[in-house]
Amino acid sequence: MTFLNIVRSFIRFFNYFCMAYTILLGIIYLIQLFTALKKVRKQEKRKISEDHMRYATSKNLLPISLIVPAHNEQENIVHNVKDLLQLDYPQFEVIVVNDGSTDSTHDKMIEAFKLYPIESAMKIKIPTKEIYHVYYNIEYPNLYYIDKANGGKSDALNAGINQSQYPLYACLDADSRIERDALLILGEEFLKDTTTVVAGGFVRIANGSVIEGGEWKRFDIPKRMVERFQIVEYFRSFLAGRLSWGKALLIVSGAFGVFNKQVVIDAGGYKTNTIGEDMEIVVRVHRFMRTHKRKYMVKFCPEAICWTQGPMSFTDLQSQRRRWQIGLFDTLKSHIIMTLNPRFRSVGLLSIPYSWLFEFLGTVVETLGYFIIPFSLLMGELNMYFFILYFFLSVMLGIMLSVGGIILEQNTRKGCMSSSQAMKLSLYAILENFGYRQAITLFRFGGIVRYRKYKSSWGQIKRREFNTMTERKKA
Amino acid sequence: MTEFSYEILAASLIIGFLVLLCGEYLWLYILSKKNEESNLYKHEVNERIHSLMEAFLYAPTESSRQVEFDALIKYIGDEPVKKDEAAAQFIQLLHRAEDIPPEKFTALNSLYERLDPISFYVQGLQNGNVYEKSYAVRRLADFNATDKIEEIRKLLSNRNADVVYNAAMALSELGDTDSVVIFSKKCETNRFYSHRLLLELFQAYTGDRVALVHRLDEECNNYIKATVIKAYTADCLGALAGLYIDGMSSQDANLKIACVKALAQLGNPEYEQKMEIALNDKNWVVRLAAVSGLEKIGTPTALEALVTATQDEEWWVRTAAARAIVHIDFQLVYVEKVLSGYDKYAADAVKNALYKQINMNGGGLQ
Repeated sequence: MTFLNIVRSFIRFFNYFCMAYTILLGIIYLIQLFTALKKVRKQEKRKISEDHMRYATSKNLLPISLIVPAHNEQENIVHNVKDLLQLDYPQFEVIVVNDGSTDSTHDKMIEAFKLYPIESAMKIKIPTKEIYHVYYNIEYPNLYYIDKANGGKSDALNAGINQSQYPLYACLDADSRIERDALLILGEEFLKDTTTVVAGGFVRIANGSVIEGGEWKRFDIPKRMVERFQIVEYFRSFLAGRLSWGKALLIVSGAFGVFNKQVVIDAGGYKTNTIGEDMEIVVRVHRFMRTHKRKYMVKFCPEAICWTQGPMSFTDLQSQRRRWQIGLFDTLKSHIIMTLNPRFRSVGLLSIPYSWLFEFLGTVVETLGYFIIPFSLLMGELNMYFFILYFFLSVMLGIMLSVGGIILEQNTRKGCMSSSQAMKLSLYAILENFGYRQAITLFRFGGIVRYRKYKSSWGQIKRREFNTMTERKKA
Repeated sequence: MTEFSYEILAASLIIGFLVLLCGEYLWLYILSKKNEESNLYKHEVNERIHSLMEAFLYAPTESSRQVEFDALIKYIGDEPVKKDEAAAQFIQLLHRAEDIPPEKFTALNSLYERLDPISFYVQGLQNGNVYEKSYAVRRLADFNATDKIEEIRKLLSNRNADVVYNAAMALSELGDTDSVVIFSKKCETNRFYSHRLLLELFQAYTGDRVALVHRLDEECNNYIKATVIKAYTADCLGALAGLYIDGMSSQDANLKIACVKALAQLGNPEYEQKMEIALNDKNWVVRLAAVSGLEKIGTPTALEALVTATQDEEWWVRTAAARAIVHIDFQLVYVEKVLSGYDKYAADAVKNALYKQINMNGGGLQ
């Protein structure tokens, strides 16, 4: 057998593999979309009888500590904390953890809230890097500010857990805003079902939206193409991707999730040398609960909304997606024992293998496809008509899924977008297939290649302050 | 298969996908348009009913009030959305009843009779789906529909858990003791409804709470007893003190904790000794409840026991004891005693409690 023959056989095998892989992935995505649609419709009907505002003053909602890890967040931190202090929730505290910022985050916090250092008497449940001081001001009795040595986001979250005095905690990104009733919606999940250990909210792209005082005011389609693509992508991945997993959900966004504190402490807290701490902690909780045969639920509530700023440039987007891919790989690697292990039921048999096969390997297969398929066309190993058909159908499937994501959004949050905006955004469901999707795959592939280099660093994305109505009117 | 049939297959795939995609786009368009219209409609209904109700209520003369009344009734017509919105706004009006001059109550009464929300929601109870039933039943409770208790009770045997819970909540709000007891008994071993939902149920109860606790004490297990005691802790029901004292000697930790907390909440110095006994309990949650109890009672005679509690092995008990000492010890004698003592953890806890009570930006002790 000559070398050329071996190459030809490999290419032929790869082409068949790609085809089978795409068909399987397409079927899975469609199942996810329909499952999510069914759930959203059911939730929509349930809204008739559910009035979470009835619980707004209830003493039975478990108190929550809102932990906000911050590293160089001078643009948004003060506004964000002020918004958090206005949330609709009977009992909560806000713990801001400054993880060795080198900008003016620390000064801004001290100045804005007139904080002073106190003797903390903190209960060290999870070891962390050195805590310099805990700051407080009696005028803001539910605000604590921890200044600590740089140790990464996970370390900051662990420090926040140590300081927290309530049974539930929520991890929030310093550059995100949660809607005023979002905490109530997630808190209600813990009230109704005491086996709930994790509940995640729906993270939406804030670019283009006006958010003031924790309330969404209006939506305008953002100017940059990269922001528009992300809006469509978030609808698809959050609503179709996460709703369909039910209790086998593997990730609750780091921007907004509520956890049972004791369970997280028992599971060992956040792993410190990883950047995918949001996924790692959920997988760790699954592993801990299944190993100890404890009944538990992991929930995703699309009505609890958190607004986050999506990257505004391709460079920032590249850095973000690279980190996500590294986080995914790191988590799957750390918990490889769960893969296909029947002891972990749906998590071990479905969601983890899915993540390996389609989230991780998918990036590799797709990237290889970008090079091998044109090469096989050149070598005559692939029929041109067949290639066009294959490409056309995969693009069609991609569009169907993205439009499906927008339909899900229209069922979840009615009236956030006008019909013309929804239709305009749906055009980006077509356009994303010609450049954006490929770029994202390459960014993610970069994460796998440079795994060792970026494995444990805080990712920094260029931010700007959230839009307010006055600014919008001026503009 | 021949090449021709491959072409047919490819063409049908392409056409099939295109048709599906067009269908999806059409669905998106219709859905978004419908949402837009329905939002606009709901907003308009809300605004219109609000302005008509205000105009009706604050009309300067009887004749102008009649005109506004007719306009409101005509606008509402038989549309369920409008009827529901009017009922919701009517309830809101009742919630701010103290701002409404007494002479307007006759007008409100006539509006209530004309709106007849109870008949409207009873219809929902009979004809609606499970969600509409759940909603209607809660609305009936909002309107204090005591004459519909029998109809609501029937829903306790519904197959849908949401309907059953909402019916139980409505009956509790209407003060129907028997139904609350029946529902509680169902929850004794079946933990489908969390204990927090049961707390909500007991707290919504508008009947005689002391009688309800006694009844549940006689008829239910420790789980329900502990839950109902916990639910009424904040009410400071002195008539239940004996029951709480009995519960403190129970072997059931949850019941014991609930009783210590409830007795402490009464804030009666007579029970200080009971709290001091509970301070030696092997369960740290009971000890914590006893410390909080001593803080609530707030007599300086408890300070010695609290100082001992600052050396407790459990962090939460130490911290709560430190907070209680700072709260009670105005002379700061015991505060100094702990601060100059050999126990670093106790001193740290007291320092932390002091920091939280003193405004370091000026303003002194809060």
